[in-house]
Amino acid sequence: MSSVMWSHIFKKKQSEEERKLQALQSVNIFQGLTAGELKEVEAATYTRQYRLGEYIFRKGNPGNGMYIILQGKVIIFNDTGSGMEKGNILASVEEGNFLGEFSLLDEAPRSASAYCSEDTEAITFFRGDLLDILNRKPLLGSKIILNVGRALSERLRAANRRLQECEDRLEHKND
Amino acid sequence: MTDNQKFIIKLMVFIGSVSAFIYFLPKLSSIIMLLLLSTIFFTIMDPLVDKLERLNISRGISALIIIVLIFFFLGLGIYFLIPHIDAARIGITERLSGTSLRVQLVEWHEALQNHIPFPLDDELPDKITDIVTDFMQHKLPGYLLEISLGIGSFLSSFFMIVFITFFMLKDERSIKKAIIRIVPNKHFELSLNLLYKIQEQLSSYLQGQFLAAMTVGILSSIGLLTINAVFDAKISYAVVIGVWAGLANLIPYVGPVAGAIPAILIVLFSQPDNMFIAIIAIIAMFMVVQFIDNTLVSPFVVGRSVNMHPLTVFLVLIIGGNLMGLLGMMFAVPMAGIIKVTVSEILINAVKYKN
Repeated sequence: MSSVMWSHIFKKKQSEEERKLQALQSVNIFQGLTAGELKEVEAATYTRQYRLGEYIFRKGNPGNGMYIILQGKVIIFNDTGSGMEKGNILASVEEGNFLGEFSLLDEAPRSASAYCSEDTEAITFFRGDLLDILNRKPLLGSKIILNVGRALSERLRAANRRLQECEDRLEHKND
Repeated sequence: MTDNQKFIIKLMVFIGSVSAFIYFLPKLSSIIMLLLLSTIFFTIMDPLVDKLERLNISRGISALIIIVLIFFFLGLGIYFLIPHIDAARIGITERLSGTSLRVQLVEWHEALQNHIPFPLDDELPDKITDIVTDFMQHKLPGYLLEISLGIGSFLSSFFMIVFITFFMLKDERSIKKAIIRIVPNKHFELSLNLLYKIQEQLSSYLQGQFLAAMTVGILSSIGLLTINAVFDAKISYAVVIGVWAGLANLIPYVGPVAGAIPAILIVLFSQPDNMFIAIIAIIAMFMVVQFIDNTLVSPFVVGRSVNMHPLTVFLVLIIGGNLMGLLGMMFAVPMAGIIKVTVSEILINAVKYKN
């Protein structure tokens, strides 16, 4: 009887941990990490529950880290003070997606607000946690930093491509 | 509920909390003190545990190794210092005992009288001897009893500090998570950021203090031993005085003077042939050590953000002394540093997260 009880408790804990590990695995900055390294990252994260209507962060706040959505839906919008409107919605982040990964590198203010349009569960990974990992497990920390750099360069390349397309379109129009 | 009612409830809760805090503070002061001291040890040892963890040794084992090593060497140091401290106590008591002190004072009185134009009170040596003898015979035993009783509780406190420090080192992340779990979502980022910043600042401040104290202790010991060798200054207990100077260095402004006084007193009482030169050498040596500490060590290892006004240091020392005697005075400034860092980080971050 008692063994059944314990197995239930551990099963729950294990399945929760597995769910988090799976979510972390799907994030680009944690790709290429071994199972042990992922567990190390998981131990450094915090899990938060947000209710419908709550803000995860507000525009202008210092950016300190990233959020990985385990469950629910988050709307990213350009907060001008007049609240969320159709015109200022920038993106919608759902289960398995993540936001704010570049704030792991600097404390630049958040460029938009993150609003929960459903009850949401998220894992957070902050710059302090990354620095802690870098301190304790330099190899793992370097892998994560390298992945953030790679994601940043991909984003930059995409932005350059879009800029080039705009320029081409403008030239085409002028011709 | 109207705004006025909400305000009154908030005010009542605030007054109730403050009253409860003031009521329980004396009862909780020893626990708070233990936690603060454990935090100091934790902050100093944490980077060492991190370094061991890098070698793929588990956190728990790393914490255990560092705790055992640090407290072993600390214990070893105390074990070797105790006979010296005891010898110093006996030596000083003998020198201050009635007859020899009176002879000494009469000699100084005559020498001083030859150099000043106005007459000194002839009974001055007797009066000073009476005061000192009365202190040594009647008041000192009481103080020593108080101190030895304090050492009893100090030992039990020491083991509690070791225990708390070990778990702080081992379960650092779990403790942080438990603290953050109770914070509402609205203040989550602010609190987490605050926790990192405070830890970062404290770490550099306390490790810096520790390194500076160690440097001053080692340099003072070497300096005193050198003065002994060069000037035959007969400064007994040079290493004990060096350790004392290092510890006293934790107290800004007062520390450097407090470090030099025992060495000068010992030279005054042992009266070597070149007493005057020896005293000048001691003062010069402590000035050089302070110069090295202030220009080469402290600016690089102790955070500038914790600089305190002399008046603040003075008040903090009085409060520390009142709460825990000499030990309280030693740790008062580092503890005030902890509080200052915490409050300033709260204020800086509160502005950043204002919206």
